[in-house]
Amino acid sequence: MRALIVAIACAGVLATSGVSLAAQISSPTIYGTFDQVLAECSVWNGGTAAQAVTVKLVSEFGDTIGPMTCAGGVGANDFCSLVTQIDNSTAYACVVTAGSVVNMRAGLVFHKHVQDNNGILVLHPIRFAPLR
Amino acid sequence: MRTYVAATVCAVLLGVASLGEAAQLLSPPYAIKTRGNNVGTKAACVIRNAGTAPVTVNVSLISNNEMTPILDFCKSNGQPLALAGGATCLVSADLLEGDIGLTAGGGTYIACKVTAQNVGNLRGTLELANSPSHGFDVYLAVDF
Repeated sequence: MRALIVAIACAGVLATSGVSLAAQISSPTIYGTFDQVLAECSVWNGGTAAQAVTVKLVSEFGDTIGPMTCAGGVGANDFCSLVTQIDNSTAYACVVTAGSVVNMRAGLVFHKHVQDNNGILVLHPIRFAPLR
Repeated sequence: MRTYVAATVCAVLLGVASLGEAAQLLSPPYAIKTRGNNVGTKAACVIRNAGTAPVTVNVSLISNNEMTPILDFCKSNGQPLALAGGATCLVSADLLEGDIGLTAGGGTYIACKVTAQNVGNLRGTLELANSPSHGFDVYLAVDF
């Protein structure tokens, strides 16, 4: 009887160790400068199994941009990002949801416009925050 | 006796299950943007062993587009380097230019991956600099 109990407990521990519930990682709520025009929240799957991933931004006022679902999931060593114009006087956070976030890494970056030496507007990063 | 056998088998299975693969240290990703006329980006993954014992590290820059390798001080004779305690190594590459404009996204991404038996004492930074540049003028650094 005791052997049976030990075996069942063992099987239970082994079974649950492979189960992964939907999990999320999040950035802090950040603000760049009055020049911030574009936010990009990028996700990288550093694991070996593809994951279904959604990305959204949440403003300091509770407004949500997204969620955006990464088309076809995010494969091993693959990337996905939510890109959106943002208000220049509002702070935002990024939230990424996936089956498992153990090997998922993400970063939220704000850009401002800069004129290059040909007068073309390009984007330069002004603030970055990792998700965890 | 049967209890001991079951417990032993369980312990072995749990032990094997927890062994797993080598540990990973992963940076957050960054989506490269065009920096300007004829200005690209080069990336460096810089890894420091903050411990005292050597750690054999496998360091790589990961991108969804082609990269032109510049330096790889994290290998010795083509093999992963045994990074001494307190030592630092670096892998760098030139990247393809990113997209331009307010809808730019999904262009070139970059991230850094380190695998080692134990990454607890490893510290990394992913540095991005203009290319070409004078020296290595970092415009964004991501510590991990």
